[in-house]
Amino acid sequence: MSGFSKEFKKGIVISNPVFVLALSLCPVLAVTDTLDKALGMSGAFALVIIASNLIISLMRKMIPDVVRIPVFVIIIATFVSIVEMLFQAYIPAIYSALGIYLSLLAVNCLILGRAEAFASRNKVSDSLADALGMSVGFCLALILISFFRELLGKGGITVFGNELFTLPVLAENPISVFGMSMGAFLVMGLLIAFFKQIGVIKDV
Amino acid sequence: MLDRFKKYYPLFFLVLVILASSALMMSAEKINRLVLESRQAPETLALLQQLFTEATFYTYRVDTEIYTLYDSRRHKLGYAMYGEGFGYRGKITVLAGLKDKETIHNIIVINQIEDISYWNMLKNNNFFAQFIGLKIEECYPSFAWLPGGVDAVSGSTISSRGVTNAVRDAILDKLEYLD
Repeated sequence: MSGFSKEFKKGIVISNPVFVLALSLCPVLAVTDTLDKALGMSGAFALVIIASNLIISLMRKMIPDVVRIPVFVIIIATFVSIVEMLFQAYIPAIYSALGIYLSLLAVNCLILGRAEAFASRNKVSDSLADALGMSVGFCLALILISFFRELLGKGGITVFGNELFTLPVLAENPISVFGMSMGAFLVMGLLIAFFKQIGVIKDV
Repeated sequence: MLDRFKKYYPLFFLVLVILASSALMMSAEKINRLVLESRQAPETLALLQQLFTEATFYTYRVDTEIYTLYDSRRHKLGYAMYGEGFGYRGKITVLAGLKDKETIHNIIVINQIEDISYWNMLKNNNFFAQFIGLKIEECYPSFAWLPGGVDAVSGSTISSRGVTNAVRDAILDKLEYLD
């Protein structure tokens, strides 16, 4: 397996940021009540981590060790601001729905963690693979959690205003606890247990 | 010379990154502003400018139905929202402007079908001027013996109450969404 695909696959299953590393749980729990918000957050996360990993990896030999953390934070915060502006201009509904959690990507432990632990020590192609893998892993986790939360908490799935389907009984009697943070923990815990049971996750 | 450069290199590098980041954000902000401004509906902006004359730009939140207004330097001027109340003849729609979470800036009546004589009584008695700078907590139909509030115009009480209720409808439910 080439280095690129190895690094890429690592973030999806072996080191899945949500189900295995249990990182970045604040946005995961907060924005997964609907599929729309989960997709919006996944997109924002992917743009920020890919751009920051690329730039940090490109500059890794120039960045002095004593100021590396402030430099990483500035680079990440810059990309978060740009992504915020993009969202505000082109998808204002998602921008409003994500609210403060979009800005909080600037201090996301996963993005900063990958910058410090990986991008600052590896070549550009590997850093790109790592960022892509982490993005896909994060996105899949958010989609899975939000799918079950929206389905159980609202009785149907709606994506960007288009109603995909509704469950007759659940739509009239939704289980509102799944719309709350407690429901997010519950769904996440059950999914981790399921993945561990079927052997997808080896070690949590 | 080289030693001195090595000593100050981290600081120099950090300043360079801050400058590059600022330049990038300023450019992105400029583009973002152009995109947002190109999407402004001129008639909506003209209406909002009746409330805040300095307003050159607005954003609208679809979920909360709140307009946020800015001046040419992108300083926030306040908020605007629609509300409805019922007068003597029917529905009265107002656009209420808020300076902040506590104070009304001004209001304009968008639509009403009141009898002209009753409506003129409101205009002639400066009824609408009572809302300028009014504290939100005082935005209730008051009795003469209560301090503050909005005084209804005698002879046109139902229309007065209709306007006041429309302002309350515009503001009260939306206060929690103001940032």
